Amino acid sequence: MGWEVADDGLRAIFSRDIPKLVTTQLQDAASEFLARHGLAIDDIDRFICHPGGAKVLTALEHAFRLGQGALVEARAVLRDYGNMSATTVMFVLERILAKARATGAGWERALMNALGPGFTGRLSCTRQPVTALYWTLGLVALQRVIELGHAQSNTARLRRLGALEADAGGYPFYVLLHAGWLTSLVLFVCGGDLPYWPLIGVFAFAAARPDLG
Amino acid sequence: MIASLGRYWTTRIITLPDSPLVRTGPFRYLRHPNYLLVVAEIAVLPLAFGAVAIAVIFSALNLLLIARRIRIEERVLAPRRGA
Repeated sequence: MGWEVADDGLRAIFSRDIPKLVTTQLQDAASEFLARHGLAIDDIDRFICHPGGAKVLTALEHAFRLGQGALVEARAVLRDYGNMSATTVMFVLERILAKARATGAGWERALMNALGPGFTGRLSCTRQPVTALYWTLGLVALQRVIELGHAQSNTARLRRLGALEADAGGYPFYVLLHAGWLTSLVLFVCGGDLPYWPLIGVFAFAAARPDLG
Repeated sequence: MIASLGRYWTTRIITLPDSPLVRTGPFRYLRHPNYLLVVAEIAVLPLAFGAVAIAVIFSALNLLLIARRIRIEERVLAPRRGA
């Protein structure tokens, strides 16, 4: 494929082989690219694809083993604006980000790909940066560390004054519970998920240990 | 909470014999206000991220531990609560 300089601008020349090329070559190219980052196609939970035509999108679905609806934004951009060459992928990205912001449904790793003259394919793998989840959990961990420091200095002082500890054997279970709770949030909540902010407000209120009275 | 308990606020169950029971701040109304907040914390943070299973599992474990802990604290503090 390539470009033809016409009187009214650039006109794309497409090869009929493109969908076939995508089906046969792109999967291997993408796997090889991801392997360099220690990843596989199965590690990707979002595909941001350049809609180089309806048949290309179908070929992409085959190449990445995607279910129906996985490329809905790419199809919508193709329908609204047509194929504007590789940069079309930026329009797809814009829609996917807008939707993620509106619904709170995020993802951990995304693969962005675009096809261009040559025939060339470009891939870019992005990881969600530090998100609301990680900020929140980081602050909670910090709060716990500060509280533990405060508690430990109080405990040492009281012990010097002759204080006694009850149920010393049960204490590790509380530590385990809180550590397990925080760890499971890191492991099982998708990094891109946006929280329901009013509940974060309730949590912050409780975590501040207010003197309710 | 930390303001009311001040230098008595700890994470282990520590009792200093002969020191008076704190009855100021939230302790005027509740015997264990700190645990009420911990129960809320464990449930609310996972729920804010839609992780219902984490909220349910850890709340159940937390309630078991806190119920046990309150029983022990009540026993230790009973002499000071008076009859």
